[in-house]
Amino acid sequence: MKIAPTVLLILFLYVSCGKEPESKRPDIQPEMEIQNWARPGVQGQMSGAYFTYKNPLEISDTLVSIESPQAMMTQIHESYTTEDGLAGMREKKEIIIAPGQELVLKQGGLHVMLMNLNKDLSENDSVKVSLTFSQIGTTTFTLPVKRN
Amino acid sequence: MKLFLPSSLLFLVFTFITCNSGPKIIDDLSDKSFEVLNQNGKTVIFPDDYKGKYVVAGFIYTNCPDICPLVTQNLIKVQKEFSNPDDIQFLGITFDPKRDTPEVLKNYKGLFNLDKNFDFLTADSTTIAELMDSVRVRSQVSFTQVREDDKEVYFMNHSDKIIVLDKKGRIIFEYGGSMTPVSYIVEDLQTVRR
Repeated sequence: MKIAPTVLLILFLYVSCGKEPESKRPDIQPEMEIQNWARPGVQGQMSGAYFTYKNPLEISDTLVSIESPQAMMTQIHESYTTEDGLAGMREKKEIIIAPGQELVLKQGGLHVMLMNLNKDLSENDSVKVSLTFSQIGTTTFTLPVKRN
Repeated sequence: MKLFLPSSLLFLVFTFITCNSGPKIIDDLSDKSFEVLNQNGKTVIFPDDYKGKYVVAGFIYTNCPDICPLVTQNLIKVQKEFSNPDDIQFLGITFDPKRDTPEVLKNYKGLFNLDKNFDFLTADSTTIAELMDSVRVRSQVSFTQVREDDKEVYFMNHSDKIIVLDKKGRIIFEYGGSMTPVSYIVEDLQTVRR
């Protein structure tokens, strides 16, 4: 009869010592640094760009178009998580910015899609991105290309 | 007393086994064998050719300019944290083999400042589909756009994932690829490499 408590102890140890994967910890999105920059890219391929723009007006303004001489096609996209847990991307059109508010483009969120690059983008190059708003007109950013 | 001695011995053996079993095996890929190509067009058998090393692998496609570079950057940060160790292989595996040829992956690799032991892998569509199924990575075309040159370009929804394989080709850790703090991966690798 002495074996019964030993068996119980073994079962207890099996449960308590069996290691669960450490990666069960919750994922926490690291806070992405807000800065103005563009990713390196290969001619004919994609790149992304990030910046912050503050609406200086006392009325709302709407971003209606974006273009870059370095890419055949330029859009604003948003990275998001789909209902079934996949990482997805969707185009954002006509973004409204309230008076004094910022439009923040950063990794993992809103970003500029530079599609079909006209030439390679390497570190220390720069990318011009022109934003056209319904109220204030066109503003051009020059973004340094960084590996980050 | 006759019963106590053998049961105590059994107890000690069991305790040793259970308390030194290491991390739980999430998926065993040791009996799988996928013929893939690295960015140089060299044939690689995954995971066999990497057995004997830990493998840290992220899943990407190169037409993804936001989330997938974050996955790659996380792999790079882990490699730098360990000062480019010889016993850890880093892999970026595409789930878009139609566009991500070895040449495209070689160009993609050139965009990052990568050390040795860092490869990008692709294969034919069937092999990639089987590989992705075995590591439970999902991907699907989400939408297509027509560029100004009339060419279609498609985008994909996909699992955001990094995995760690042990030296026997078994998945022992899984993480959200772009959003996991790098310290989680580093700590787990430090634990199993002791």
